[in-house]
Amino acid sequence: MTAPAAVLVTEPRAVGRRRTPLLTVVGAILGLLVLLTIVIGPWLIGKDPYAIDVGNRFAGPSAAHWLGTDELGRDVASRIAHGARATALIALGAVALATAIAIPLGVLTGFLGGWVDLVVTRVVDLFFAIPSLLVAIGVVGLFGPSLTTTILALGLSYWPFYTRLIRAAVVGIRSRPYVDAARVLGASRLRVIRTDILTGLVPLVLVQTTVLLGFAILDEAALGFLGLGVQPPQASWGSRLAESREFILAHPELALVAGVPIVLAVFAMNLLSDSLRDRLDAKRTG
Amino acid sequence: MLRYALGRILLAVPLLFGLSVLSFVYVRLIPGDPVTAMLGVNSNPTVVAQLREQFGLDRPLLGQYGDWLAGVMRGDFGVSFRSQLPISTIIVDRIPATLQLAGAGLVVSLLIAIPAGVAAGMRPGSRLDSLITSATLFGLAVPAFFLGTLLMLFFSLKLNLVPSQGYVPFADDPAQSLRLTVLPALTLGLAISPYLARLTRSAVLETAQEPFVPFARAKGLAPRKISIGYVLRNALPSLVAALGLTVASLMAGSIVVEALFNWPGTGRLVTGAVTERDYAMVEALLLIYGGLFIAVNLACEIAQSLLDPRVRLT
Repeated sequence: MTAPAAVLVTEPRAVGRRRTPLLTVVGAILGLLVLLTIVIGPWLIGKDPYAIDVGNRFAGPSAAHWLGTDELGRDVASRIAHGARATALIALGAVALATAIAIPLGVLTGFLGGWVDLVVTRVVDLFFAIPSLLVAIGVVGLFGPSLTTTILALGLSYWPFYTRLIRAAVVGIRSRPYVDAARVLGASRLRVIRTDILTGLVPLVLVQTTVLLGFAILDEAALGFLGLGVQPPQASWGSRLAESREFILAHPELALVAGVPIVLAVFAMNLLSDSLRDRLDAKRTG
Repeated sequence: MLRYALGRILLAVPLLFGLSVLSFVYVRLIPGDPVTAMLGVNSNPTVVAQLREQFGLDRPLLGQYGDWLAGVMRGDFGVSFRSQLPISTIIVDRIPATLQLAGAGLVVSLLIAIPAGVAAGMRPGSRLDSLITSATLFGLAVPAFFLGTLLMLFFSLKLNLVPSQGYVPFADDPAQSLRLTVLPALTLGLAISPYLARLTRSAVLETAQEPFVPFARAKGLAPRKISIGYVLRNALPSLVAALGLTVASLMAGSIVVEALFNWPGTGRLVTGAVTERDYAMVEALLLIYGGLFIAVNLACEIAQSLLDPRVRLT
């Protein structure tokens, strides 16, 4: 379909970028690839990620070991695929935790205002003042490194920033005419929150979920790299990196193989969140 | 101006106070108590009691907090549970290395991010913009330590251009010190530049919509003069404010980069203190990192108001 008349109208230059959908397609393909790795990867490879074979250390790629073997002779491909499950679990858990804190707090403060808003916002500011990786490291310090701790640490390091976003969005929605209309018609506060505020938050939450999933994969890897994440021998993308780091000079290919899935998964999340943002125009509410 | 600055500083005081309470409470949240956590469950009870007394852990909480805070005000953070050395001495020793890395990293990231962000923001939707935007999204996906590993493998192991790891104080051997800084600084700078480029792009994009831009264009000014002299100058205040927030990624990035390049800065202390369960040290570092973040953001807000006096009115 063409619209020749549009050419004649002198419009101001488009504010946003006119995205080639190519990037969205790339993001979707990469995302699907990651999803497949998580869901059927371990089954497809069919190797035990914990089976040690000391006679066969640092072997190159072969029919038996698609990506070779690691420092203990374990199958690298299988460790990556099983690790993808642990990493996905951590990322989803952390984002769910952050969302479970941020939405109630953000809605409460943004909608009610007053002293509740004042007090909670100060507390959020306080936590916001500590860089999120440091919050995560602090939580690991309290409970000791493990998979559960990693979920807790990442979830707790994202909520301040997320609560701020939700609060700002709620303040924006609250002043919309349709909210006034609902109140004039006699809708209770709870009803306004349920039908107007929460539904209005959906685009923002969708975008932020993809953004935070990307962050969580990166931060899980960072904690793993520092030795504060999932502990070896348990497989995760972060622990895989921590393991490969010791042999980085002699066997750099192990570190490469450990890092590439992280880059691809996070890139997929970034592309998807960016095109979601463009499509849903979350900026208008956030 | 002074009034605005004072007001901002006063607003930061309760935040700093809250931060001190938080760091203090954090250590007391540890299941069991710090000394047992450090020595292990099977430690000798007399030794534990002795250490508890030495660190003042057997006294009432409020008194402990008061003493600790009074010490912090004098620059005394107590003694490391692990090495028994004063924490302030340990930290002060590490500061030059971290500053050198963070400073060099920041310069690298500004050199990449500002031109990229301005180029993309001045012509939104252009081919250059989508190229820069895709590169930014990709850059955001590359973990700093992975990037650092690649750089290390390529520049020092393959090409043998720079040493791969280590640190020499600048005062001891400036040339070697700078050579050793190249890779860590490049890693840190490249890791942060996507964030900065994004911030720059949106600040420039917003400013480019202002009516003075088409006016300058109509006046026949060169595009370069418009983008640098007009748009970037007017986007500068919001950029400076955004720069304050980037300090958090700079801090987080340096923790990881220091671990990768064996760089003896404060970031190594953070990881070390947590793995060794040196809680007095963790407490001090939380307070220092948080305080620094608050202070830098305060400075950025004041700088913003100097660049754009209108900010003071809001």
